[in-house]
Order: sequence, then structure tokens, then C-alpha cells
Amino acid sequence: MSRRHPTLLLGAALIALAVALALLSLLWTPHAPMRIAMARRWLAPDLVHFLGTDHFGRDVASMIMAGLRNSLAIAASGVAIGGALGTVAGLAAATWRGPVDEGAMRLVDFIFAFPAVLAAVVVTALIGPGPFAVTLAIAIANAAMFARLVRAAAGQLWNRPFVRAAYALGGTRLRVAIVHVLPSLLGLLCVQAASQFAVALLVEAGLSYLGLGLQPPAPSLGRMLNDSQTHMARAPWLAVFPGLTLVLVVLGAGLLGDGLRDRLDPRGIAPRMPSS
Amino acid sequence: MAGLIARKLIALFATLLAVAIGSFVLLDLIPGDPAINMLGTEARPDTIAAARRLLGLDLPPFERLGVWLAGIPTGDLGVSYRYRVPVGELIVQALAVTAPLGLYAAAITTAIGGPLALLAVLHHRRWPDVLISSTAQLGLATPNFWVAILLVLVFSVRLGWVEAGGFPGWAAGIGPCLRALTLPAIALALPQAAILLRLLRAALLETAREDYVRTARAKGLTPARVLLRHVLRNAMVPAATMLGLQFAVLLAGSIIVENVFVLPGLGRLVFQAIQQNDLIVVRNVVLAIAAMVLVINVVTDVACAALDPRTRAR
Amino acid sequence: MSKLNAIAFAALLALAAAQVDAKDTLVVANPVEPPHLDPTTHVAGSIREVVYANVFEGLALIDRDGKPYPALAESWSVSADGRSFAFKLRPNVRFHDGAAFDASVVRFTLDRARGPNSINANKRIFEPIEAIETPDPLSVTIKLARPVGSFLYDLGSADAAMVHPASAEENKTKPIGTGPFAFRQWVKGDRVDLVRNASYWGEAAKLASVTFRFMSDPQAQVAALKTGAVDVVPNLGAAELLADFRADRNFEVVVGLTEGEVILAMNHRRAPLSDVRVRRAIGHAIDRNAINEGAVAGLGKPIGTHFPPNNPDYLDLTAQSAYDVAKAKALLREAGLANGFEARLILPPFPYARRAGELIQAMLAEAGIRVNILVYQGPQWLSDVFRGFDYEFTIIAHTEPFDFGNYARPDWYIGYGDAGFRDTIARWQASNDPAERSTLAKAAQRKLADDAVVGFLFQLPQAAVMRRGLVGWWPNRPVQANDVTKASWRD
Repeated sequence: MSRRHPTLLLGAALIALAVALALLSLLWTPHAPMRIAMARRWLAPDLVHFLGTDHFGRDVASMIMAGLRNSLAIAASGVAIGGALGTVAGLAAATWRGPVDEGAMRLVDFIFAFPAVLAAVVVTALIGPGPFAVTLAIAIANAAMFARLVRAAAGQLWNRPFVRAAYALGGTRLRVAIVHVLPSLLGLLCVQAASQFAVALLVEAGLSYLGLGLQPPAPSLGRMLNDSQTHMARAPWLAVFPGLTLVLVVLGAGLLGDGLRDRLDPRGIAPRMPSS
Repeated sequence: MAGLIARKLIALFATLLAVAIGSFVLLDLIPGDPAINMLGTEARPDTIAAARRLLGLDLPPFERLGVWLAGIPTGDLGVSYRYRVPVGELIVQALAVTAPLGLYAAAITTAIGGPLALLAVLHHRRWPDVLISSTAQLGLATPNFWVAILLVLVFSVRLGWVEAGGFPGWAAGIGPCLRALTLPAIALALPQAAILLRLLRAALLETAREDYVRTARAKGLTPARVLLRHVLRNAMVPAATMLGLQFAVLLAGSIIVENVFVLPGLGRLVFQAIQQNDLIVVRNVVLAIAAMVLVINVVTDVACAALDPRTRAR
Repeated sequence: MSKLNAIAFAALLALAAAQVDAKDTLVVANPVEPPHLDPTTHVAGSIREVVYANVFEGLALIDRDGKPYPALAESWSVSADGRSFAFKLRPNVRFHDGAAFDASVVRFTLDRARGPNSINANKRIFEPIEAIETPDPLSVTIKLARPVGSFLYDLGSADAAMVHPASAEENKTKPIGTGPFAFRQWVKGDRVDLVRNASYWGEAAKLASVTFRFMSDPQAQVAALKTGAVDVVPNLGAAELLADFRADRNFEVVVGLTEGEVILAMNHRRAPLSDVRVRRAIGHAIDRNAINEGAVAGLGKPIGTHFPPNNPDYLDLTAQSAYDVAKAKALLREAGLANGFEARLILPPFPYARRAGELIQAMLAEAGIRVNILVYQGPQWLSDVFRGFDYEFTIIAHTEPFDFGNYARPDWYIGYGDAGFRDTIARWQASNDPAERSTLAKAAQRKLADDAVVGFLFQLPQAAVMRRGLVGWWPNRPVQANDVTKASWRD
């Protein structure tokens, strides 16, 4: 009995749940996520505050919902922008070869020489911390990743008979690339996007933990985890719930990526591991 | 073969030069002034000028870049703006923590990931495999700094077995140092073990499908012996490749983990240097890391090409 | 008594004696590792928290009440016009490497600090020096261009620590001073070890050795105290964790105050903060008691003006800017800002600032003022906020003693330009008469409160946790230092 369906379904379900919670948070949360209430600090989970309150009396459940929304938005934007740019670059490199190819790949090598977190820290130092900097850092890393991947895959596709035929029949390179090569890449792109989305969530959380992501009072899962460290002895739930949320969402994205790969790309052109 | 190596080396140097110049230019744009930083709120024009002279910041950017690049071959990386000691010294001291941490983490990664992968393959499609694969998925999804926080919560705050952070220095003995590095190594290793496990399992399964393995099975060897004698050896190449590439991941992870555990390693050094505007340390560390990553890439590429009989035949 | 019994008895006695003298070491947990160990070439407080008074001494030093006392100078006399200071130096004082301390060393130290290549963080205090006379090896006369009331105090600061020409350059990594403790080693990333100076000129330190360990994480500090790895944490990073130690008989919690006035700084160069009504409104919009509670667990002392509450000249003017949101809104309306306005609140990387910032943001929002929080690292705060004046609000603690005079400086980041205040401060700085200085200080306090120059929040507290039995630890922090020269363990 194949294992394809459970993985894909479970992944999709987790992501759907996360997105639903995130969208819901725009309309309603159990309490106002940024409402400070000094009289109700460090409350353990109870019926009023399902997941407790933090050192300023803010409701943890509400903060998690709002933080989830922010994390999903940043990760999705980063991957989408980077993915789009990288796909264009990779496709162009495979289609026109020559100097375009050389230039693009040298740039990709340059970007890959820096570990992602370090590059992100430098970016935030340059333009100031915040969601824009984090999205930019994620986009740059994804652009390089997608560029390299798409170039390899498109390169292979350009050697296929049906593409060569289309070109021979009189199409321009550009037309053939867009009409014939690109559609065949879609499956691969979906798989990669899902995997990279998982990685992007982790990177955003890590940068927020270091204080380089969303600034107060905007809720952020990573920053919540950082704040929780000082109060660990008194309020351990502050460290547990945001982390658990993060794990479940990233797990969902990872399972989604795996499930999609099994269905769309069984031959394994996309690398099997998310490489951060 | 020689041509391949030559081409790779030229590309390596070109990229490194680009990294050096790029990081120099970018980092100079970071707001803040190392000279004013030393002087604080009472900084005045004359002390600022004296500080800039001392730090070598009174030279034009092009000259500073030249001085830096010229010094690298002799190991003179400049003097840290903040600590006033040679950058090379700082990096070596930091590596004395990060390198053992990395090795420790790699050891734990292999010790966990290796046997579990073998176990999963031996019981492919049965419950041990499903359980192990699911755990690996979970491991991949877990942020290493969250693991770090939880480890501190359990082993330091609640049980009091180890200190919450810090590093006593190698002069204090191997025991105390290993104790200080244990929780950080575990935090780094768990996500890596998950990656290794999945990769190894996939590589093993793929090799297991090959014809020569079926021949071995047909000859009557038990699955375990087939695994060990034939499959494992051939799957080592992709696994080794991956371990090499994960080095960059380790350095990235160490920035966060070293901050959580307050370890005076390379990750924490470069992070604090960025915050303190100690740009000379930052660009040297960035160059060093880029060099390590690129060298490992080249070595792996060449090794793969050398080992692959298809290339050797050419 | 048989010989065997005698030996046994002697051994028992020795053992008992050893037990009694057992504890003569001290381990202190400092939050930040210093960049190096020379206070005369760097501003960082973390340096002073290791070496001030312990390793380095000046002609004077500051005591636990914030007053200068004679150290390397045995005595001094000030001329009637306040411009000439004659010092008699202590005889037979040696640096830790054996070099002799005399008038030539004083000249070297002062010339180095005020010279063209000086990177002394407090060069300003050496500015007024016109001439240095050394009639004999144990006498120094310093002539000033104008009278400076705080000159003796200034000479007691870490920036004026005496250094020897032969060892000055190496002080960053191997500090050589004249203090009761000598530097032994620095394990980078972990600790600095000091040992008792056997040939100290004064009363020998009771402690045989002192170790300063560097721990920034409050959890680590707590764990280290509990396991005994550390004897005292001068300022526990998270005040909420104090309750545990208060209840524990093995520990003592001592809460004192520092010289740091925590303020919500407002940039008078940016409208509408140039309008005093707006500033008064902001004063009423924030609840300093709640901020004190949230930022430092209520251990700070709320202040209504820029002056340390422990000082006898302090005036309690907190009622002038009491928490009153309705009044705040009324004042804003009066200033034509019924809809409030937007601004940036820039926070430096200190926990008290971050916490206070979040609370203040919420409070100002109630009054209609919408602030965006930006967190800057130290260097950027210095360059952009402090020197570049590119901010509207920021939160910072000013830790220099008698720093209320800074508001009179034309290049101060606040931009308060009142001529009357400037005049008051000028007279206060020039005066040598304690009664006159007291009156002027009070007048200055009232003016700062009346004009709501900034939002005065609270005096930064210091919550020390120490193993019971430690004697001689300073309850307050008048200067950035951990002076352990007189510390010891009670038997």
C-alpha cells in the first residue's frame, strides 16, 4: 500500500489549518493580542486564557494566532518573490546559455557562499530589522536556489524531442521557453516551493528570535520564544506553545512538499532535502 | 582531470575575490562608527580623529581594501576595532569552540541518523520504518533554537545537571568543556540527524533496488549482510557529499545556538561583531566561511568526478 | 599527653583553623565581557566593572556614597580661586610590575589623557588643565584655566586612573595598576582572575583572589548562584527571579539604586515636541509606576526630574507629571493636536529600555500618540540618535553623576535651549560653595520639571544577590564599578 496519500493529506491539512487560523486572526482572536494587562501577568493556561499570558499580561493564544499570520505572510512572500525571480533567471540561463548563463550562475555561486542566517543578519544590519529585511533575505536565498534548480531542469527539458521540435518548427527561444518548457517545470516548482516554504518559516523564526524580525508590539513567534527564556522557571508554557505551533506548521509544509514530490516528481529532479 | 581541477580553482579564487570586495563594500554601509563606539557619548572631534587614526579608518576605502587583501596571504587580517587584538587570534580562539562543537554535533548526528536509517531500511514499509520516517519529519520541522531552549529548561533549570550556558575554556580540562558543549551539540545535531536519516535511507533504498543487490540476495545472503557489505558502501558517496555540504548549515545554526548557550564561538563572534560595528572581524569571518564552503564544494566535486568510473574512463 | 595524641590534637586544631579561614575567594558574575581592560582608552562600563579600584587607582577614588577620597594622593589642597590643586603623593607606591609611582607618572598619565592622540572617553575632564608642576617626586600641582567645582571628583573617575609609561600600552590585555588586586589571567569568553597584591601600599585586601565571570543570561546567573559556581550577581538580569532568593536563607538580596536616571527622551528639534504643552501632555500620558513595575519589577525609584533620589538635594516633583490621561488629551487639544500625531520610538539594546518601550507605546496610544518602535544596536544609537539627532523619542538611562548639567549643552541630543537654565548650570559648575551648589541644583531640578524637558521615569535599580556572609558589598552603585577592595566573608 503506497504512502503517498497520507503524507500529502496530512501536510495539506496542517497547512490549511494554519492558514485558517491566520486568516481568522484578522477578524477575531480570543483577546486583543497586543493588549497589555499588568495585573494578569504569567497566568497559567485556564478557561479565559487558553494558553496563558506572558510577562505583560498579553494572551498567548491570540499572540500565536497573530504571530502565525505574520510568519506565514513573510515566508510566503519571500519564497514567492525569490522563486519567481529565480525561475526567470534559471529559465533564461538555460534558454540563452552563453554569457547569460555564466553571469547568472556566478551570481548564484556568490550567494551560496554565504550561510543564509549570516547573510540575513548582515541584510538586517544594513537596512534595519523588520519584516522587509527578513523577506528580502529569504527572497535572495530562494532566488539563488530556484535559479540553480530551474537551470538544471530546464536544461534537461531543452534536450527533449518535443521542445527541440517546437524550436525547429520556427518558434523563438523566448516563445518556446514560455509555452513549452515552463509548463513542464510547474510540478517541480510546486514541490520546491513547498519545501522552501518550510525552510523559510524556520529562517523567519530564527531571525525573529535574534531580534531582527518584526519589532514590538507586532506579535512574532520567534520573538515570543526569545522573551520566554527569561521567564522559563516561572512560566514554562511561554516557551512550549509558540514552539509547538511552529513545529506543526513547518511539519505541515514539509509533508506537503514530500507528498507533492511523490505525486508530481517521482523521478526526483528536485533535491530530496531542503538545504537551508 | 587536471583541466577540471584548474578550472575549479580559478572559479574558486574569482568567487572569493568577489566575496571579499562585496562584503567590504556592503559592511561599510552598516550604520554606526567604530571610532565613536569606543568613545561613547563624550566623543569629541579631536578624540574621534585620534581614534580613527588608531583604527586605520582615516585611509580612503580603496586603500583600506588593498591593505586588507594584501595582508591575507601572510595571515595578517588586521586588528579588531573593538578588542584591539589581531583578528586572526580572535578567529582561532573562536574556532577552538566552534570546531569541537561541530565535530561533537556531527558525531551525535551520525550516531543517531546512521543506525536509525539502517534500521528503517531493514524494516522498509513496516511499522519501524514508518515510525522512524515520521520522527525524521518532526526533527526536520523543529527549530534548533527551540530545541536549545527546551533542553535548557529540562536539564539546567529543572534538573540542574548542567550549567545553562558558558564555556570554561580548554585549560579547565576536557571534562568540563565537553559538559558545556553537550546540550548545544544535541540542539545542533537533532535537525541534522533527521536530514541525514532521510538522505541515507533514500540512498540506501535506491541502491538496494539495483541489480547487483538482487543478485546478492538471490545468492542467499541475509538482508543485513547485503546491506552492510554492498549497499552501505555505495551509498556512502552521496552521504559523504551531504555531510560536507551541511558544514555551511552547521555554521549558520551555530550563530543561533551559540547565542542561546552563550558560547564564545565563531557564530557568536560574528553576530556580536555585526552588532558592535567591528566590521573588520565580520568581513574576515565572512571570507573565511565562504572560503571553507567553496573549498569543500570544490573538493567534493573533484572527488566525485575522480571516483565516478564514468569520468575516469574519459 | 602522649605524642600521638598531641599530633592528633594539633592536626585537629589546624583543620579547624583551616575551616574558619576557608572562604577567601570571591566569584562575581558580570553581565557583559569587556572589550579589553584599559579604562583610559574605552568608554565601556564593563571594563570599569572589573578593574576600577581593584586593579587601577587614581589620585582619588569614589567611595560607596559617591564622594571622592584620597587614594594615590595622600592629601590635597585647593586654592581660594579654585584654580590650583596641590597634591601630596603617597610614598613607596609600586605598580604590580614593580615600577615606582611618583610625580612623573602623574604627569605622564594626565598628558597622555589630554594629548592630541588621546582616545580617552572622558577627555573633557582634562580640558581645563593649563599646567602640571612637579616640584619634587611626591608633589604635583595642577593649574586650571578656570575653576571647576567637580575636578576632584573627576580625578577619581576610571578615566583618570594612574598608568605607568612602561606598561600603559599593554594595559588592554595585561592591566598593570597600583591597586590591592593584581591581574592574573583572562580566559576569553569566560572570566578574568585577579589575585591579592602582596605589596599593596595600603591595607591589604581581605580576599586572596577575585574572579569576574561573564554571564549575560539571567537563567545562567540564577543557576550559577544556586550551584555555588558564583558568589554574587551584582545586578540580576531579571528582577522577577528575586523572589526565590529572598525566601532562601542561604542568600541575601540587596536592592539599591544606581546613578542612572531612566528617561523618555524627546527631541526638541522635532515638531511638535518643541511645544512644552505637548511635552507636558506626554508626561501625564505615561504611568511611571506601571513602567517601573513592568521594566524593573518595581525595584526602581520613580523620579519627577533629572536627579538621583538618594542625593540630599533631591526634590520629589513626580506629582507635577502625575498619570492623568484626560489631562494629557486636554493639553494635546490645546496645542492643536486633537488627533494626536505619529512618531518613532527608538530603543537601545537594554532590557529595561525594551520593556519600558513596549509599555510606553501602549500608554501613548491611549492619548492618541502613535509611536513605531525601532530597535537600534549601540553603535547606531550613538551615531544616529545621540549624534545625528535623528529621532523623536528614545529611552535611555544617563548614568554619569551630576549629569543634569548636560541639558544645558547646545550640542546635547535633547535640544533644550533655555538660556536661564544654561546660566544656572554655568554658575553651579563654577561654584565651590556647597550651599550655593545645593540651591542651584534645586533650581535646576524645578526648571527641568516645569518645562517637561523629557519624560522622567525612574532611577535604575540594582538588585544584587549574594551568598550569605559576604561583607562589604556596596548596596548602591554611585559609579560603574565593583569595588571589592574591602569585601570579605564573615566567619
